[in-house]
Amino acid sequence: MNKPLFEKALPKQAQRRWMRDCLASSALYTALVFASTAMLDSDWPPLLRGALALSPMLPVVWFAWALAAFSRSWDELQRRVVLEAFLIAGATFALGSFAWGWLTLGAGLPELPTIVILPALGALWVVAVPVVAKRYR
Amino acid sequence: MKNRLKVLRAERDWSQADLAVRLGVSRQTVNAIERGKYDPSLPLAFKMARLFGHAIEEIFLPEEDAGRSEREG
Repeated sequence: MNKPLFEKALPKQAQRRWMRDCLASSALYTALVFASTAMLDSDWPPLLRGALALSPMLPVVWFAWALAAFSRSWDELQRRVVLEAFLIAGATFALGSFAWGWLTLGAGLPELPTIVILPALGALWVVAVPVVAKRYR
Repeated sequence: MKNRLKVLRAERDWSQADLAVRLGVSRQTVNAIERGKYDPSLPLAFKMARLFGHAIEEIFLPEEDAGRSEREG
């Protein structure tokens, strides 16, 4: 009886739009990461280099916007599960990064690059959703 | 919170999926409510009450009332 929480629960149109936006923004992100990394070596003015370095943020914002739009199709329990999972992910990451900070100071661990924050938080969120959903089954 | 959702649904011969469609929620949400794992919001409780033609307190029972009626019944 361990069926996914979102099984056939969401309007098909919202699901299709989410899948489309998810795939398109991920593809654009990959392309922009490769393109901007390759082009950043050139001797361009700092403003242009900054704009180029920030370009992968565009699909990330698109992804976040699509997720927010998709969340409006969830029912109240689905929304609760996802929000609880986000809280758990945030708390886990906060504790983990704090512990890492102490290990950086005391045990010579390298500093945690800020670029890992969003992917790590996202990954923890994805892991936490089925764990929280299980409590409501 | 205990509830009579399963009984009311069975009286109408509705599956959880049927009820979910009528309420505009997922089947998993109906299941969680029936099993007492999730207490619905007030708007959803009102929607259920209207759908079944009962007052909210005839469908949902606080734990202490449910315990008392089980002892008395």
